[in-house]
Amino acid sequence: MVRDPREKIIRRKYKKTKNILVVSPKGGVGKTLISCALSYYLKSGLLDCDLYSPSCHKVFGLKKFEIKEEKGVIPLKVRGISFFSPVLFSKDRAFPLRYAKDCLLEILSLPNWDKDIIVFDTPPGLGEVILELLRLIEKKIIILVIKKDILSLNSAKKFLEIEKVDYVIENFGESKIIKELCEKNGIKYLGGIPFYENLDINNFFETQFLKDFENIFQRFKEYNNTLFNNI
Amino acid sequence: MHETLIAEGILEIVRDERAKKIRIIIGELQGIDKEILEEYLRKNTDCKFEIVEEKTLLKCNRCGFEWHPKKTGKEIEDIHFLPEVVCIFEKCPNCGSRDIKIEKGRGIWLEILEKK
Repeated sequence: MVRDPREKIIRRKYKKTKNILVVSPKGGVGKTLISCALSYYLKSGLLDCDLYSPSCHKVFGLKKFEIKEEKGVIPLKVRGISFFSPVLFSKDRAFPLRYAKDCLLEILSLPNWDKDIIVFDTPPGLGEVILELLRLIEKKIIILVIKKDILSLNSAKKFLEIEKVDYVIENFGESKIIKELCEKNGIKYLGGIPFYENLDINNFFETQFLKDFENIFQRFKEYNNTLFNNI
Repeated sequence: MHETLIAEGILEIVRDERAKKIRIIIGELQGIDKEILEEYLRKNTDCKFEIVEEKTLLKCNRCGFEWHPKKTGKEIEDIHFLPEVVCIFEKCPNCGSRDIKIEKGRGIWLEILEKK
């Protein structure tokens, strides 16, 4: 009988935290920006689980990745959030990755979180990473990010076939078709974010996107009273 | 210490499974400090344990060449925490690819040999 001690560490760690997974099987819908915005307003932990192309550090303008060890690794502190990502170890160099599970187990087990709420930015697709996250993080809120186009909608419907979703955030507008999808599936629609041409990621925290996201955040707070007892 | 975190995971399994004797297999690549791990376990459990190291073997996914890396997590901290980044420090000596599989020597595994 063979056991992996990391799974024990992970299950214990994330039983103590309130976990929010930001998902979409389709890439390019805005998961990363929404994960960053959400963690910013929550002042939470942020775990970049998009192992194939981690990008959250770019949004926060992080360029130095110092490792401090203490019962694991201390997440980086930036703009009131605690941030963890594979880039702490890849130092933002090219990181070809075929076998994601082991990498994910390390990324989940290493951070010594000082936050009660953790936002997980996830990769697109319905592959190993998202499936392992769904398996290992037992108690979680799932936010599905959708765009009103046939490709994103098609992918979103497939996700709904494998997992129940709690909320939808629509990017690039607000549409009837997505609201109807939510109603049909018993999902709460948090709102839509308008399309911004030439969104300046380098100055994300000064953008209208982030200001407009606050409405979505407030709606999320209204639905989640117990999550925000300490905020 | 990272080793302490791993040890706590091992201890939890020992408790849950009521293990009396275990074998801990440590992959060489991760560079886990065996002595720190042993000391922590000895202080916190009376379960008998043996630690076995599995030597690292890397394999190129492009051409199938296999080799032992020059450096492991003992020398490179990033590999110690996330062994998959070995592809940043190593490329296939045969074809130069960075599409590398860690065939052996990755991770930590626990075999339960005897239960109470």
